[in-house]
Amino acid sequence: MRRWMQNRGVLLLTAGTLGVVGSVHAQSDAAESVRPQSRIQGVVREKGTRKPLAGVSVFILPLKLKAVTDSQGRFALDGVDGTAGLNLVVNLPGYIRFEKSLQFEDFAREIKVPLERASYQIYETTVFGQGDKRDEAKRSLKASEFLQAPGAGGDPIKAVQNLPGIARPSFGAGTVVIQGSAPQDTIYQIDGQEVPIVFHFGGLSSVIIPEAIDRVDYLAAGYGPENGRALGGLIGVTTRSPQTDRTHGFAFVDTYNAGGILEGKLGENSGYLIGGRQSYVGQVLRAVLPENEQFNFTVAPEFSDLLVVLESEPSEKDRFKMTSVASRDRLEFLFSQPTDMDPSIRGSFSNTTQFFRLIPQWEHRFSENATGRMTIGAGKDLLSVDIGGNFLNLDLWQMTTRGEWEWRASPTWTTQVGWDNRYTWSDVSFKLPTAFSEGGVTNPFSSGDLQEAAIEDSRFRLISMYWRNEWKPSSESPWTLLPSLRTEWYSATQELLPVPRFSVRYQWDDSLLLKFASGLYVQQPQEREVDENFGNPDLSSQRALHLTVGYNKDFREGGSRGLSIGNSVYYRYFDQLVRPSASLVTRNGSLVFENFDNSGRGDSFGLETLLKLDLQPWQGWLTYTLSRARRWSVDDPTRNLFDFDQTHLLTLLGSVDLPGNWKISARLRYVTGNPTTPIVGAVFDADNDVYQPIRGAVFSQRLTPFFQADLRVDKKWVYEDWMLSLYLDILNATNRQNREGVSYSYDYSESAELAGIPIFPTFGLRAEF
Amino acid sequence: MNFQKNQWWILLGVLSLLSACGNSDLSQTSELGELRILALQVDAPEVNPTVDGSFTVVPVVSDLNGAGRTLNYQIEMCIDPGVSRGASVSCDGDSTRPSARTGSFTLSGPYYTGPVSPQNPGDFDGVVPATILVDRNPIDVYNGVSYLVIVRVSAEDGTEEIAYRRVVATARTELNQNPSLLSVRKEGESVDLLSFPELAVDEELSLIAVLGNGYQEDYSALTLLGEEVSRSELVTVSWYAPQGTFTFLRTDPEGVNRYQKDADSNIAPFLFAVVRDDRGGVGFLSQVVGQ
Repeated sequence: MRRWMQNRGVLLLTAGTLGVVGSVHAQSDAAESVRPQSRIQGVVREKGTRKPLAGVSVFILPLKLKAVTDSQGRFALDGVDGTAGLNLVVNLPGYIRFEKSLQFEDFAREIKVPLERASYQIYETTVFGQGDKRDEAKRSLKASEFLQAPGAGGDPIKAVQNLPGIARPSFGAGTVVIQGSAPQDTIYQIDGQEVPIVFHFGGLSSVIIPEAIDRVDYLAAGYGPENGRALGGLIGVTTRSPQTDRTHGFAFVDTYNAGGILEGKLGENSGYLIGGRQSYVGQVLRAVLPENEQFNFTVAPEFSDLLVVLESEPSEKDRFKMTSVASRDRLEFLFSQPTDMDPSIRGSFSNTTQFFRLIPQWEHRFSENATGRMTIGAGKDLLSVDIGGNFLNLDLWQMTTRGEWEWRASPTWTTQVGWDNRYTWSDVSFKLPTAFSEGGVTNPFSSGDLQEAAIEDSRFRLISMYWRNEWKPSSESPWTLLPSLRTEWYSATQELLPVPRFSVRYQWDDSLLLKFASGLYVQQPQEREVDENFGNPDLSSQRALHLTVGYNKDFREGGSRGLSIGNSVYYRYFDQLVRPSASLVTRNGSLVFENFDNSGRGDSFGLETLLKLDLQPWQGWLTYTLSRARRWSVDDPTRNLFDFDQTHLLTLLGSVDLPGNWKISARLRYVTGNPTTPIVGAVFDADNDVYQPIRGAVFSQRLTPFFQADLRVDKKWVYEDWMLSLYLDILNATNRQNREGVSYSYDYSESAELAGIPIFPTFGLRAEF
Repeated sequence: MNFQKNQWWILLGVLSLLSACGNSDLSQTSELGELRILALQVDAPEVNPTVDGSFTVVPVVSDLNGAGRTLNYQIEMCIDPGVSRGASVSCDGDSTRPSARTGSFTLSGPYYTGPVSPQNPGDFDGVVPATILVDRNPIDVYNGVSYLVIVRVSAEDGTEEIAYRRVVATARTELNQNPSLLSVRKEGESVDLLSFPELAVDEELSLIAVLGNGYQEDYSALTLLGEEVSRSELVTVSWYAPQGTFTFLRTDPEGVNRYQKDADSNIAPFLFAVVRDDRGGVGFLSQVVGQ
């Protein structure tokens, strides 16, 4: 039967050839005058993206002529005798088979072969814990993962919060809490340089357009010596290189913001990328919020950001990249009369936050075994907060510099020596009441003592050097030892602190890696905490010890389908944590409030698991964290829970690619409720007409567990030269009323639940070419 | 100055505040009924203890539902242990404090709201010790060091209200004075002169508090760096009533408030207002619409 089918095909081809040869022979004369009739040439590109496809076999059947595309996707086939019954065929795995009947005019032109991918919703695989083999404490998410993660709205940092060890943030917190550390113990970087904020408006969106990000890294317990000054860890965003094969463009619009990217070639070996966003969240809020006689927006909340990336490779040994990023958030509203809860909150409220950074990066390969890298982050941070005449204005110039020299001394020993410095110059003026908060309960602003100052040219220097080593006993040894030393010097505390780090890897076999990491970590107190006027200049740096041990097991045996597991346990001990102090001390001969001391202590420990299952078109993640975080003080050794202690944190992510470039994904989250402090009474502050809460046992209660289901649907339409995508991301698809906090009556005698966000759909439309 | 951390603190505070004041199901500060201390007025909100540190406290108490029952008071005074910075409202840590005074009183009807007199003469009197400013830094000496007055009012059923205030000890020569509240007016006419029966169920009173001359004082203060700055007091009027609703629970001195009595009420609305500057100065006034 099969032979008959083959014969029938040959017969039909022959008949077709005989039938058309006479009619087209005359037409081919013109083409023959242009170029040899026997040559067919063209270019193979991916449909929609126009990406040239190299190394692709192009056939002329049934002649069995074959050509392979070059790096530009071009091909040429000689010896094509006529066109009758001839088909140009491209059959590339992962793409839909392309077949085209040859016509005589094809000899006279370049044939375009647009290959359509089987799916444009491919979910690329990232191996847990190996975003960068240099640091086992690093976990990474690629753009293809965070852009379509359900519940994250395409945002990379929100998607990172799906990883184990990161606490579920409260709505509006805008911070990342890592493994039981405080929010201020996490630092944020763009292309390796520190930036002041990572989110617009308390968590609404990251400060950089997600489509311009290559990956986002999360450094947890035991991170390497290249970074420091953070007891918790680090969230780092790496911008991607511009695409230089041609000019690319991308634009999007969704429920609360719009933006786009333009990128392309800029001379020989150089490229550019320009991206930005502008929000209209304020207009949306105005439409959604009910009319309120007591409160109205005078400037609707808005944010914008801009990113420019220039990259060049002036020589084979040099790579230069310049990243420029700017971000601005602005909000103003007006209370027509003093507020019900606190009369000091009145009149106008305004907040402007903006920063920019210029981040030149240069890498030079001195030899096969020696490489140098240097980056600078120079820029300015501006913060302005005005609360009814009380204010905080900060104008800060910052320069961070990093440099590293890497030398592969032998096949078994690689060493790096580097520096990581931060310099700031700031003017700050403020008129604010002292604030006190304990157990997650903040005293009213009115009850604080009003403090006012204008401090100019305040300078801080944080100087760090490190020496990192990666050593194997032999080339074949499964052991890798990583002894490192980092030193920190802080001008604010005048401390020189050696902080050793030590890690070990054991490669059991190709699929199983065992790992251990440890280290000391130090963090300078916040600048305001060491100020001699309103802080305590005698404070020391906060310290932490990190220990972590774990393994990664990949059951896929080199394939792309299957299961991979990462498991680890961690322990952190925190020492000399800064706490507020109401004690009176003698300073410069006068009795003054101490303001802060180093009496805080704490620990956190936990178990983390990440399971990834890839059964294309189905994919799934399961992350689970079992943890405990506690705090106490030298004066009171009672172990209290930490603000963000979340015993169980379970996240289940699943997605399926459907025909027609549909993709459906979902996220289920279960998180233990955050600890709360009961309020057992209140005392009336008769000067200020507010009540001061009396706290019960600190963090002795919990909110009800958090459960949320998020759903996302993506659809892509692929045209020859461009693509159109539509997505619907539904946060809290079941409209569950999760408790995010407790609100109280004026005297704290009554309370009510503070519900989290209800069902929140976001529509988005994007076009790219 | 790491502003990312400061921004977190400020915005979190404001967000929690906004979330708290958005819940209309919780009882409002303007509602009179249960035992409450509405204000602690002293005749000298600021004193120069090296000249004269004496003062007298006048608690303003409301106990409408108590209907004239006997209430007990306890009053303590001491150097402020740092309440604004998280210390407990307590005098236990000050061994030099005078002993607490106790006594009882009753409030007179029909609204059982108003100032309280001591059972024993002198119970509500105090003296800020001159030593309070010794060894303090010059900025605190000028801006003031707080002397704490803690008042407890309790009933026999165990109900207790605790309030505190500060008497500011300063070396300044110009001392803060209490603001005064002269009348509550509707369209220029004092509300006690209105004809109550004419106040329909759905009618709103547009109220403005008329304050005495000089209610908003200008004063000087030292910044943390010792620079002298001029400030104006921030004055607030707080509104109370046993029934009905106010549009605003607090208003600026020039702010117009609106009041609507309960639909099922046929008694004359009783209004109580307290004016405060932001330096401890207090004035108060009660008025009954149409009486």
